[in-house]
Amino acid sequence: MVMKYKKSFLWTAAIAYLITLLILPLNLRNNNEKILLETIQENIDAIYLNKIESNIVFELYSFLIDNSKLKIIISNKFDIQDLISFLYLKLKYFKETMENYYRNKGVELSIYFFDLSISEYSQNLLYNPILLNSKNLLKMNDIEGTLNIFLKVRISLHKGNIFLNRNLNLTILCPCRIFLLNRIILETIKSINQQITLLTQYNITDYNEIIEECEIIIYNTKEKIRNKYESRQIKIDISTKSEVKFIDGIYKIIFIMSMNTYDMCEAASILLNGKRLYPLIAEEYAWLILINGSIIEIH
Amino acid sequence: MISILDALAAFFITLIFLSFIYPVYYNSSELNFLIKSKHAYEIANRVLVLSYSLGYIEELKGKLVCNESLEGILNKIASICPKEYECEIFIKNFNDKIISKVGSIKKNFAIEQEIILFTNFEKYLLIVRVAW
Repeated sequence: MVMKYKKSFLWTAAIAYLITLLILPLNLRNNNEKILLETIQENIDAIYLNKIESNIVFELYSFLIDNSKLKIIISNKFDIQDLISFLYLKLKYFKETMENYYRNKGVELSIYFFDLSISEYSQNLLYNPILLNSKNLLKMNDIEGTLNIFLKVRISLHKGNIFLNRNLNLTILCPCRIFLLNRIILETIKSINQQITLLTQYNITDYNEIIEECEIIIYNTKEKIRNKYESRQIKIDISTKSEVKFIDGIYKIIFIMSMNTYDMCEAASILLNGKRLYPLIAEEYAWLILINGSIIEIH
Repeated sequence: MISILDALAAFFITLIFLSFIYPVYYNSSELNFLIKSKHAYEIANRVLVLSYSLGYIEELKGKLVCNESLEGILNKIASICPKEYECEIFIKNFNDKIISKVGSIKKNFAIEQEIILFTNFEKYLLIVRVAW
């Protein structure tokens, strides 16, 4: 009987020993696979965070261009400070949308925008060709007077054990030639002003003649400027109006000129309510012409 | 001679042994699944980034603003997906309504990657689903 138990014990011990030998490498393999599983899961998280980063950079690029064009089209004026304030406001919306959406997906995301500035295009600036191509801007050749947006961005992403922090300096080419449009306006006004000032040297006593002369000057200047810029897809519209008052023997003529310059390049346009709209800079300029007998004063 | 007691001991020990082995096999299938998922995530990412850099996303936004058919441009995006994988591309608004969809997935497992798209006044989600 004792022998029988001894035999059973030996059998059990032998099998237990054999199993221990077998399980040991299997356990090791199990541990290795656990590490592998964690590593692959971390890789997947890293891929997800990279995707978010690409989404932010590409969208931000597009977002700033579209909103700059929108603001210029809505306001019709050349006001860089106003444009910067508007873009900061829009960036706040961009940040909140991104952060809230990805927070719901289990990602801790923080985006900080700072040092937003706007300048005119210069040849010394370097652009990312991939970003340019994403907005079909690589083929743009007439970029004189184009808008440049500089922005510093800090992106912090965290999912599981993976952290991703990026500091980016974005140089964005906005295909909207507002600096050129503004220069055309200044050039036109300067030229008209010089010619109108010369009217004081003429011996004109009739206010109708003065108004007619002013209109001829404006028409000729407009045609000259139009011929110069038409081939560059710049459209110029000028309208005039005048008011005449007769006070104390003096004719007071207020001559007002309204000038609109449009960037008619398709890359500069936006679609709004099914309509294609082009960036426009509008300016109004007035001259006060006093005729006292044969003396003409222009202010 | 092997007694019943010996046989029983061997049987129970074998059971214990199998219970050790089972999780090992289980993990192997999970590992396989995760490796394939990782590839699918990489493919979905590549589809999205290439769509941006080739200007497809810009074209898509233009069509969204004009309320034009999105099928053509979504097919262009889907064409980036390798033929070995099944891809589904769809665009949704933030109210979870699907605006347009191309491709179909017949396989059991699929992963999805999404990006947020901003147009002048709206925002959308472009989703790429990849199955293997």
